[in-house]
Amino acid sequence: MAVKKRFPYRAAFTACQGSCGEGEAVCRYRCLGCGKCEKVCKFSAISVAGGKALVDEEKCIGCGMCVKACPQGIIRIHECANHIAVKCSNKDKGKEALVCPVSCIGCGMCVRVCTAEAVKVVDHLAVIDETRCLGCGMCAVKCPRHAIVDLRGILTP
Amino acid sequence: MAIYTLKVNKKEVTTEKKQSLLRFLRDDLHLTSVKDGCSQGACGTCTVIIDGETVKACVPTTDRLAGKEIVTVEGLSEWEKKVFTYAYGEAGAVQCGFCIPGMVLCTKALLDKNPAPSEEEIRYALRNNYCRCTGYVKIIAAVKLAAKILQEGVIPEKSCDDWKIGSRVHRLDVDEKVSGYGKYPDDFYLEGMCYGSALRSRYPRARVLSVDTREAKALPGVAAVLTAEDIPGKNKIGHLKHDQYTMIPIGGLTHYLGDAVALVAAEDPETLEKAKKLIKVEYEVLTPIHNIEEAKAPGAPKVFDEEESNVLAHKHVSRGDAAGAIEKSAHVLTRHFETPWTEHAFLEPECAVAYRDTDGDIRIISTDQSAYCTYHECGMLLGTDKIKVENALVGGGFGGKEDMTVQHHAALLAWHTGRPVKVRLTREESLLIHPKRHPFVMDVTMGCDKDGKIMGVKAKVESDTGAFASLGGPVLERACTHAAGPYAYENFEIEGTAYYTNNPPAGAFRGFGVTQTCFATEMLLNMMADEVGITPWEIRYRNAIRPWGVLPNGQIVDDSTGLLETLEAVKEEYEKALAEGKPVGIGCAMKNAGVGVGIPDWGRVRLIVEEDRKLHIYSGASCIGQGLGTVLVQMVVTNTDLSRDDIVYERSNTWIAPDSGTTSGSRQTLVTGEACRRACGKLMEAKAGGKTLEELKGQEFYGEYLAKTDPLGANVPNPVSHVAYGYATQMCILDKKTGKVERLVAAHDVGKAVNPLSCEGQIEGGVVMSMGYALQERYPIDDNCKPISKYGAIGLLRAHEIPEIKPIVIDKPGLKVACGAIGIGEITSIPTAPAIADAYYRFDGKRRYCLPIEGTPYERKG
Repeated sequence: MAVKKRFPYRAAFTACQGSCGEGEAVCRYRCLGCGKCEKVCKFSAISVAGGKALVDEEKCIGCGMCVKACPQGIIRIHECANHIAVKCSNKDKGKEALVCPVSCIGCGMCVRVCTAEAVKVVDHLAVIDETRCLGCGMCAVKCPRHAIVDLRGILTP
Repeated sequence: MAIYTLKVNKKEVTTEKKQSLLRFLRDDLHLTSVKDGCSQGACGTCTVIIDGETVKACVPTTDRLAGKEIVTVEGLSEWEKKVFTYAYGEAGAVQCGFCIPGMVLCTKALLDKNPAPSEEEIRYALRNNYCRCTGYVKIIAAVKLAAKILQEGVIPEKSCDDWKIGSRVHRLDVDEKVSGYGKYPDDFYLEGMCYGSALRSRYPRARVLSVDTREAKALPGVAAVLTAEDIPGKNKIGHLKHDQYTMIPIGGLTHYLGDAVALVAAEDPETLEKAKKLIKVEYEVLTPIHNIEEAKAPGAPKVFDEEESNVLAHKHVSRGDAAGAIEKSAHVLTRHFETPWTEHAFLEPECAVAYRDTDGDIRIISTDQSAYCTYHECGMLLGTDKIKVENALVGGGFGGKEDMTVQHHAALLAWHTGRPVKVRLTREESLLIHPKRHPFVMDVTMGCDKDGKIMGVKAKVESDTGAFASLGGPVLERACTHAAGPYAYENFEIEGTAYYTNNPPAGAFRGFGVTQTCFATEMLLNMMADEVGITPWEIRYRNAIRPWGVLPNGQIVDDSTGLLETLEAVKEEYEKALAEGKPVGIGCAMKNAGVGVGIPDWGRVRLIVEEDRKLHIYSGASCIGQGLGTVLVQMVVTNTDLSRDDIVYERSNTWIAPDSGTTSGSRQTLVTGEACRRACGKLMEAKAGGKTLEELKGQEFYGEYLAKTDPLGANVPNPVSHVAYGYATQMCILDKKTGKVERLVAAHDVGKAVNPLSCEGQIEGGVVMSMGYALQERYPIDDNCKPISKYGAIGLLRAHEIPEIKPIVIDKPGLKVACGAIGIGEITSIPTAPAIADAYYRFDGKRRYCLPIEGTPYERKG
């Protein structure tokens, strides 16, 4: 590790699973795989592979350079301990959002099942308030679109 | 049909049913260390480890876990169990124990990955699991200690093991709670057991016109469907006043959304829910009473047909001439204060298992605060005394388990079906059904002389007691008597009224009304200090009740009175904070130990030397997590020549253990403790001449103690309202940069601390509970009188959010009974809110008169 990090660790998070383009439609909010994030990262913590950006949380120090560089605005800095995250940035409504097998359609299932009232749908997109989230992953398990993921790979693949 | 294969505790297991992992682990594998605290993903009591990560077992389903390695507490190695039992015991981390298996697995998952975690990392590892008893402080300490032991590979000797009073011994229930084999009612799976539940009213206030149960009864797998007509005894029961309907009869009014209209028992929970949906109820919907204003409006609809008005209770307490004294005062302040509904949020939802035993009696395994209350109320319902009640482990109470919630329903269903029946509330039901902390509105006037001496206090308070009486009357009374505060002055007058509404019921909650009125009085005192130009500490010191002083209720207090000592204990730190310009707030409180005010308050203990040549302690007094068993064993070791290994503590029951009253009013340590001491005296008389337990086999030694007091308004110059009071000073220091609470100091006069470790645990837990009450907890109720249903949204504080807490236990002798021990349970929660609110005033100059206070970083918006 190049830089000594302080707990709680923070790292970049890309809110896209990079699964669109498999069908005919293409998501306009998707990770373009343009590599701008990779170029600005001084720690080689973010790289583009298979057309999508991947973050190495071990290397990332959460400086936010990639957040600024991303033309789609789909990278943010989050606390690594918050392992339940919405991995989608699609703000289209319902059917229009069906451009990818794992897109958020704003159905609100996550809002209903969240015990902590930590999830909201804003602009047809689920948003988790990480200060309230209790990390249970009920939203991830119940999400009909698999747009919410357990970054540890336990509750979701 | 698909078969799902899972690996649990290194064994391959299969199931055909797609169900939550929690249900599979508990119902199929009976791995009951995995607790069901909410099934919503909030509480963390069902935490297991999956592939090295902690997961709440109520979330994933069995179809998605193929190939994953699942570990529960039962699957820990013997070494790990020993280490965690020692660490949690030594740190004093175990109280009710319901959160503990989950906490233990969080500990393991963390230490497996990170053998030497920082405090912050420990807090993060625990932060998705709630604990309502400990305030997390000692659990965090336990994790640190476990880390150290695992690294060193050696378990040290216990730091204290003599079991005398004053010794910080490990509690006697640590092992069963850490290893998860201790049983709460929900952990009983009896042969032939069916599941029971109530169909609740659809409307908070409606008349039940008809109930059609035919379809439900016809559903295969349904064992019984009962309505009010099926009650053999009295429908209306209650802790004191009998106004709680077991089921609403046809023609009767519903009082809140938790009223039962019918009861169902079925072979399994799925059939049970189906059957409930098949019951058809016709209602005449009526306008509900939402609040105090509506309840007292002229011509307001009545909550109860049979009551004259919506007033449950009215109290008027007066001594001296408050109005006259205030008129002559140099400084006078009047303010309006409001405190909210508060949910107990104990980790274990209400559950009871009832069955007919071989004597033909209805036996109830219950989680409650008095087995004898359950016995009396269920006896009233069934019209028989052929009832036996025993406590299983109780997963927290805090006042919320004093009433019947499930016990009576389980008893009635068992009576009708002849089968074991388990009735367990879902978390959503629990949030609705058990009585909450009363919301209060208070108008208080205080007059002081130019030096800040209190001349008089006059107040008017009102409470919303919701849908039935529960303890609404006594709570109002305690709110009124204790509104005066722990100060020496002569003129005090208060008028209080409790109103029925169609909200959930309100009743006992740690502090018993004093948490509310103390907020008002202490806030006024803080403002008064500014008026007079002295510090809030100084105004308290000048007014503090001292030994042999007279309280505003007329009682002359004894040598054990330790308010001054609590003030002095925080003085240095208070002045240091002031000198450093830190925002610091302070609050004081007193709280009775024992029911008091002339009500017969008996402690009873029976010591029996049984066949195993050990002395068994029987007392009909519930340990709800506070550690009563440990207290009683320490009493016996101190007052006899026996050692710990000679003694067995038995949980409360109603057929061997004598009635020792409810776990309420911080009374068990003092009242049952003194009864125990007296029984010990008899044992020692019998042992005179060096007799051994072997020689005393079969003998019993009975002790009882009446905590005798005078009734309220007794015509004596100096009535004894309570046999003892605990005193406290708490102090809150804020971090100027973040505006968050940096440190809470809590100095408590507890008489003689029986177990200082447990005492500290009570203080830390009480302080954190009230920090939530002061800053962020909520219990919203909507227009349909429906309260919050999500456990994770109440706003309970989490492990990473608590500040540094410094408990100061002041051992002050003087009390003549129970070896000088005064109860600590409630007072820990009383002065916290005013101390915090005053610290925020010193921070930003804004006075706050309502809880939870606004404009802090803790405020929950949206």
